[in-house]
Amino acid sequence: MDIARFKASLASLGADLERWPPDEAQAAVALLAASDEAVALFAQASADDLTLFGDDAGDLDGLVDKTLGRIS
Amino acid sequence: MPGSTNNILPDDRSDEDLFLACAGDEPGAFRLLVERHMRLVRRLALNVLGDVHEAEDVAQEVFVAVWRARLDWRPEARFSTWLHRVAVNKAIDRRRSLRGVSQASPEPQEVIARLADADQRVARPEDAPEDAHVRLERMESAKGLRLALERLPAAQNQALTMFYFEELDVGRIADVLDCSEQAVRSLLKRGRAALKTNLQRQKKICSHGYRPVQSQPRQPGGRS
Repeated sequence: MDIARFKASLASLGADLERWPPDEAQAAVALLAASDEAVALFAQASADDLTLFGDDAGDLDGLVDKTLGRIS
Repeated sequence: MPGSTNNILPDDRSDEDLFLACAGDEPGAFRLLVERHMRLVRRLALNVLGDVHEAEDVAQEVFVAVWRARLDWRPEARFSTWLHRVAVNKAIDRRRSLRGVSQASPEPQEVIARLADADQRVARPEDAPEDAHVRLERMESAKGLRLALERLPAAQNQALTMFYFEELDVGRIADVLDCSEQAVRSLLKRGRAALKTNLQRQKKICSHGYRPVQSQPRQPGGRS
Protein backbone atom coordinates (compact mmCIF):
# COMPACT_ATOMS: atom_id res chain seq x y z
CA MET A 1 0.00 0.00 0.00
CA ASP A 2 1.28 3.46 -0.84
CA ILE A 3 0.46 6.78 0.81
CA ALA A 4 -2.08 7.78 -1.83
CA ARG A 5 -4.06 4.57 -1.38
CA PHE A 6 -3.85 4.87 2.41
CA LYS A 7 -5.09 8.46 2.27
CA ALA A 8 -8.00 7.46 0.03
CA SER A 9 -9.02 4.63 2.36
CA LEU A 10 -8.86 6.92 5.40
CA ALA A 11 -11.03 9.46 3.61
CA SER A 12 -13.74 6.92 2.89
CA LEU A 13 -13.52 4.34 5.69
CA GLY A 14 -12.21 6.43 8.58
CA ALA A 15 -9.34 5.47 10.86
CA ASP A 16 -10.79 2.42 12.62
CA LEU A 17 -8.80 -0.38 11.00
CA GLU A 18 -11.26 -2.97 12.29
CA ARG A 19 -13.73 -1.60 9.73
CA TRP A 20 -11.30 -2.01 6.83
CA PRO A 21 -11.05 -5.18 4.77
CA PRO A 22 -8.51 -7.35 6.67
CA ASP A 23 -5.82 -7.44 3.97
CA GLU A 24 -6.09 -3.68 3.52
CA ALA A 25 -5.82 -3.14 7.30
CA GLN A 26 -2.74 -5.34 7.44
CA ALA A 27 -1.09 -3.37 4.65
CA ALA A 28 -1.99 -0.14 6.44
CA VAL A 29 -0.31 -1.34 9.64
CA ALA A 30 2.86 -2.12 7.69
CA LEU A 31 2.79 1.34 6.15
CA LEU A 32 2.20 2.98 9.55
CA ALA A 33 5.23 1.20 10.96
CA ALA A 34 7.43 2.63 8.21
CA SER A 35 6.07 6.06 7.35
CA ASP A 36 5.82 9.21 9.47
CA GLU A 37 3.56 10.75 6.85
CA ALA A 38 1.16 7.83 7.27
CA VAL A 39 1.14 8.34 11.04
CA ALA A 40 0.33 12.04 10.58
CA LEU A 41 -2.57 11.18 8.22
CA PHE A 42 -3.79 8.49 10.60
CA ALA A 43 -3.72 10.89 13.57
CA GLN A 44 -5.63 13.52 11.60
CA ALA A 45 -8.26 10.99 10.49
CA SER A 46 -8.60 9.69 14.06
CA ALA A 47 -9.14 13.26 15.29
CA ASP A 48 -11.71 13.78 12.54
CA ASP A 49 -13.56 10.62 13.62
CA LEU A 50 -13.71 11.99 17.17
CA THR A 51 -15.07 15.29 15.87
CA LEU A 52 -17.59 13.71 13.52
CA PHE A 53 -18.91 10.79 15.51
CA GLY A 54 -17.94 11.60 19.08
CA ASP A 55 -16.37 9.27 21.60
CA ASP A 56 -18.23 6.77 23.72
CA ALA A 57 -15.32 6.64 26.17
CA GLY A 58 -16.88 9.40 28.27
CA ASP A 59 -14.80 10.98 31.01
CA LEU A 60 -11.15 9.91 30.87
CA ASP A 61 -10.15 11.31 34.29
CA GLY A 62 -9.81 7.78 35.68
CA LEU A 63 -7.47 6.75 32.89
CA VAL A 64 -5.43 9.93 33.32
CA ASP A 65 -5.10 9.32 37.07
CA LYS A 66 -4.15 5.68 36.53
CA THR A 67 -1.49 6.74 34.00
CA LEU A 68 -0.01 9.34 36.31
CA GLY A 69 -0.09 6.77 39.11
CA ARG A 70 2.32 4.63 37.07
CA ILE A 71 4.81 7.50 37.02
CA SER A 72 6.04 7.87 40.52
CA MET B 1 4.95 12.64 41.08
CA PRO B 2 3.51 14.64 38.18
CA GLY B 3 0.35 16.50 38.96
CA SER B 4 0.50 15.80 42.66
CA THR B 5 0.31 19.48 43.54
CA ASN B 6 -2.47 21.94 42.94
CA ASN B 7 -0.39 24.40 40.92
CA ILE B 8 -2.53 26.35 38.48
CA LEU B 9 -0.83 26.43 35.09
CA PRO B 10 -2.10 28.32 32.08
CA ASP B 11 -3.77 25.97 29.60
CA ASP B 12 -2.68 27.97 26.58
CA ARG B 13 1.01 27.09 26.73
CA SER B 14 2.26 25.02 23.82
CA ASP B 15 2.82 21.29 24.22
CA GLU B 16 6.52 21.87 23.69
CA ASP B 17 6.71 24.44 26.51
CA LEU B 18 4.81 22.15 28.84
CA PHE B 19 7.02 19.17 28.06
CA LEU B 20 10.17 21.20 28.57
CA ALA B 21 8.71 22.29 31.89
CA CYS B 22 8.32 18.61 32.81
CA ALA B 23 12.08 18.23 32.53
CA GLY B 24 12.45 21.15 34.91
CA ASP B 25 10.91 21.39 38.30
CA GLU B 26 7.29 22.09 37.44
CA PRO B 27 4.83 19.62 38.90
CA GLY B 28 1.52 19.58 37.08
CA ALA B 29 2.85 20.27 33.58
CA PHE B 30 2.78 16.60 32.63
CA ARG B 31 -0.76 16.16 33.92
CA LEU B 32 -1.86 18.94 31.59
CA LEU B 33 -0.20 17.21 28.66
CA VAL B 34 -1.78 13.87 29.49
CA GLU B 35 -5.20 15.48 29.86
CA ARG B 36 -4.75 17.32 26.58
CA HIS B 37 -3.72 14.26 24.55
CA MET B 38 -5.18 11.19 26.27
CA ARG B 39 -8.36 11.02 24.17
CA LEU B 40 -6.57 10.99 20.83
CA VAL B 41 -3.77 8.68 22.01
CA ARG B 42 -6.39 6.24 23.32
CA ARG B 43 -8.27 6.46 20.01
CA LEU B 44 -5.11 5.90 17.95
CA ALA B 45 -4.39 2.73 19.93
CA LEU B 46 -8.01 1.63 19.65
CA ASN B 47 -8.00 2.15 15.90
CA VAL B 48 -4.99 -0.13 15.57
CA LEU B 49 -6.00 -2.73 18.17
CA GLY B 50 -9.81 -2.80 18.08
CA ASP B 51 -9.95 -3.60 21.80
CA VAL B 52 -10.71 -0.99 24.47
CA HIS B 53 -8.92 -2.78 27.30
CA GLU B 54 -5.72 -3.23 25.28
CA ALA B 55 -5.95 0.30 23.90
CA GLU B 56 -6.20 1.86 27.35
CA ASP B 57 -3.26 -0.19 28.57
CA VAL B 58 -1.21 0.91 25.56
CA ALA B 59 -2.25 4.55 26.11
CA GLN B 60 -0.86 4.37 29.63
CA GLU B 61 2.38 2.83 28.35
CA VAL B 62 2.72 5.62 25.80
CA PHE B 63 2.65 8.35 28.42
CA VAL B 64 4.96 6.42 30.73
CA ALA B 65 7.47 6.13 27.86
CA VAL B 66 7.09 9.81 27.05
CA TRP B 67 7.64 10.76 30.69
CA ARG B 68 10.81 8.67 30.84
CA ALA B 69 12.15 10.38 27.72
CA ARG B 70 11.52 13.93 28.98
CA LEU B 71 15.12 14.70 29.93
CA ASP B 72 16.47 13.72 26.50
CA TRP B 73 13.75 15.32 24.38
CA ARG B 74 14.65 18.31 22.21
CA PRO B 75 12.00 20.47 20.54
CA GLU B 76 13.22 19.78 17.01
CA ALA B 77 9.79 18.58 15.90
CA ARG B 78 6.30 19.10 17.27
CA PHE B 79 5.61 17.26 20.50
CA SER B 80 2.35 15.84 19.08
CA THR B 81 4.12 14.44 16.00
CA TRP B 82 6.48 12.51 18.25
CA LEU B 83 3.70 11.48 20.64
CA HIS B 84 1.59 10.06 17.80
CA ARG B 85 4.57 8.10 16.49
CA VAL B 86 5.18 6.61 19.94
CA ALA B 87 1.49 5.73 20.25
CA VAL B 88 1.28 4.06 16.85
CA ASN B 89 4.50 2.10 17.40
CA LYS B 90 3.34 0.79 20.76
CA ALA B 91 -0.08 -0.12 19.38
CA ILE B 92 1.48 -1.96 16.43
CA ASP B 93 3.82 -3.85 18.77
CA ARG B 94 0.85 -4.87 20.92
CA ARG B 95 -1.19 -5.86 17.88
CA ARG B 96 1.60 -8.07 16.58
CA SER B 97 2.08 -9.61 19.98
CA LEU B 98 -1.65 -10.31 20.32
CA ARG B 99 -2.00 -11.71 16.81
CA GLY B 100 0.90 -14.04 17.55
CA VAL B 101 -0.69 -15.17 20.79
CA SER B 102 -4.10 -15.64 19.20
CA GLN B 103 -2.72 -18.27 16.85
CA ALA B 104 -2.80 -20.64 19.79
CA SER B 105 -5.89 -21.38 21.84
CA PRO B 106 -5.89 -19.61 25.20
CA GLU B 107 -5.41 -21.74 28.28
CA PRO B 108 -8.63 -22.30 30.25
CA GLN B 109 -7.12 -20.44 33.23
CA GLU B 110 -6.43 -17.46 30.99
CA VAL B 111 -10.03 -17.39 29.82
CA ILE B 112 -11.27 -17.51 33.41
CA ALA B 113 -8.86 -14.72 34.40
CA ARG B 114 -10.07 -12.53 31.54
CA LEU B 115 -13.70 -13.08 32.48
CA ALA B 116 -12.97 -12.28 36.13
CA ASP B 117 -11.12 -9.14 35.07
CA ALA B 118 -14.06 -8.10 32.90
CA ASP B 119 -16.45 -8.61 35.83
CA GLN B 120 -14.24 -6.50 38.07
CA ARG B 121 -14.14 -3.73 35.49
CA VAL B 122 -17.92 -3.74 35.28
CA ALA B 123 -18.15 -3.44 39.06
CA ARG B 124 -15.55 -0.67 39.48
CA PRO B 125 -16.82 2.70 40.69
CA GLU B 126 -15.06 4.46 37.79
CA ASP B 127 -17.51 2.72 35.47
CA ALA B 128 -20.45 4.21 37.34
CA PRO B 129 -23.12 6.02 35.30
CA GLU B 130 -21.78 9.20 33.81
CA ASP B 131 -22.66 12.61 35.18
CA ALA B 132 -25.76 14.39 33.97
CA HIS B 133 -23.76 17.12 32.24
CA VAL B 134 -21.72 14.54 30.32
CA ARG B 135 -24.94 12.80 29.25
CA LEU B 136 -26.40 16.13 28.18
CA GLU B 137 -23.27 16.98 26.22
CA ARG B 138 -23.43 13.64 24.42
CA MET B 139 -27.11 14.12 23.64
CA GLU B 140 -26.34 17.55 22.19
CA SER B 141 -23.52 16.08 20.10
CA ALA B 142 -25.79 13.30 18.86
CA LYS B 143 -28.44 15.85 17.96
CA GLY B 144 -25.88 17.94 16.07
CA LEU B 145 -24.66 14.86 14.22
CA ARG B 146 -28.21 13.86 13.28
CA LEU B 147 -28.93 17.36 11.95
CA ALA B 148 -25.70 17.37 9.96
CA LEU B 149 -26.50 13.94 8.50
CA GLU B 150 -29.97 15.08 7.49
CA ARG B 151 -28.47 17.93 5.48
CA LEU B 152 -26.45 15.51 3.35
CA PRO B 153 -27.66 14.17 0.00
CA ALA B 154 -29.73 11.05 0.62
CA ALA B 155 -27.22 8.54 -0.78
CA GLN B 156 -24.37 9.95 1.34
CA ASN B 157 -26.59 9.94 4.43
CA GLN B 158 -27.56 6.30 3.77
CA ALA B 159 -23.98 5.17 3.15
CA LEU B 160 -22.63 6.88 6.28
CA THR B 161 -25.50 5.59 8.42
CA MET B 162 -25.02 2.02 7.22
CA PHE B 163 -21.22 2.12 7.60
CA TYR B 164 -20.84 3.95 10.90
CA PHE B 165 -24.04 3.19 12.79
CA GLU B 166 -25.24 -0.13 11.41
CA GLU B 167 -21.66 -1.30 10.92
CA LEU B 168 -22.25 -2.87 7.52
CA ASP B 169 -19.14 -3.40 5.43
CA VAL B 170 -18.60 -1.72 2.09
CA GLY B 171 -19.58 -4.82 0.09
CA ARG B 172 -22.90 -5.16 1.90
CA ILE B 173 -23.67 -1.45 1.47
CA ALA B 174 -22.93 -1.81 -2.25
CA ASP B 175 -25.49 -4.63 -2.39
CA VAL B 176 -28.11 -2.58 -0.55
CA LEU B 177 -27.57 0.53 -2.65
CA ASP B 178 -27.15 -1.52 -5.83
CA CYS B 179 -23.86 0.10 -6.81
CA SER B 180 -20.17 -0.78 -6.91
CA GLU B 181 -17.91 -0.87 -3.85
CA GLN B 182 -15.92 1.98 -5.38
CA ALA B 183 -19.11 4.05 -5.58
CA VAL B 184 -19.79 3.34 -1.89
CA ARG B 185 -16.26 4.46 -0.96
CA SER B 186 -16.82 7.63 -2.94
CA LEU B 187 -20.13 8.29 -1.16
CA LEU B 188 -18.47 7.74 2.22
CA LYS B 189 -15.57 10.03 1.33
CA ARG B 190 -17.80 12.87 0.15
CA GLY B 191 -20.21 12.31 3.02
CA ARG B 192 -17.45 12.50 5.65
CA ALA B 193 -16.07 15.68 4.10
CA ALA B 194 -19.49 17.33 3.97
CA LEU B 195 -20.31 16.19 7.49
CA LYS B 196 -17.09 17.70 8.77
CA THR B 197 -17.89 21.02 7.11
CA ASN B 198 -21.47 21.00 8.46
CA LEU B 199 -20.39 20.20 12.01
CA GLN B 200 -17.64 22.83 11.97
CA ARG B 201 -20.20 25.38 10.76
CA GLN B 202 -22.64 24.40 13.53
CA LYS B 203 -19.90 24.62 16.14
CA LYS B 204 -18.78 28.02 14.89
CA ILE B 205 -22.31 29.40 14.90
CA CYS B 206 -23.09 28.01 18.35
CA SER B 207 -19.82 29.32 19.79
CA HIS B 208 -20.82 32.80 18.64
CA GLY B 209 -24.14 32.51 20.40
CA TYR B 210 -26.28 32.58 17.29
CA ARG B 211 -29.15 30.26 16.65
CA PRO B 212 -28.23 27.17 14.63
CA VAL B 213 -28.92 27.45 10.93
CA GLN B 214 -32.08 25.68 9.87
CA SER B 215 -31.72 22.75 7.49
CA GLN B 216 -31.77 23.74 3.87
CA PRO B 217 -34.39 21.89 1.84
CA ARG B 218 -32.80 19.19 -0.22
CA GLN B 219 -32.82 19.73 -3.98
CA PRO B 220 -35.39 17.38 -5.54
CA GLY B 221 -33.53 14.70 -7.40
CA GLY B 222 -30.22 16.18 -6.31
CA ARG B 223 -27.22 13.97 -6.91
CA SER B 224 -24.95 12.84 -4.16
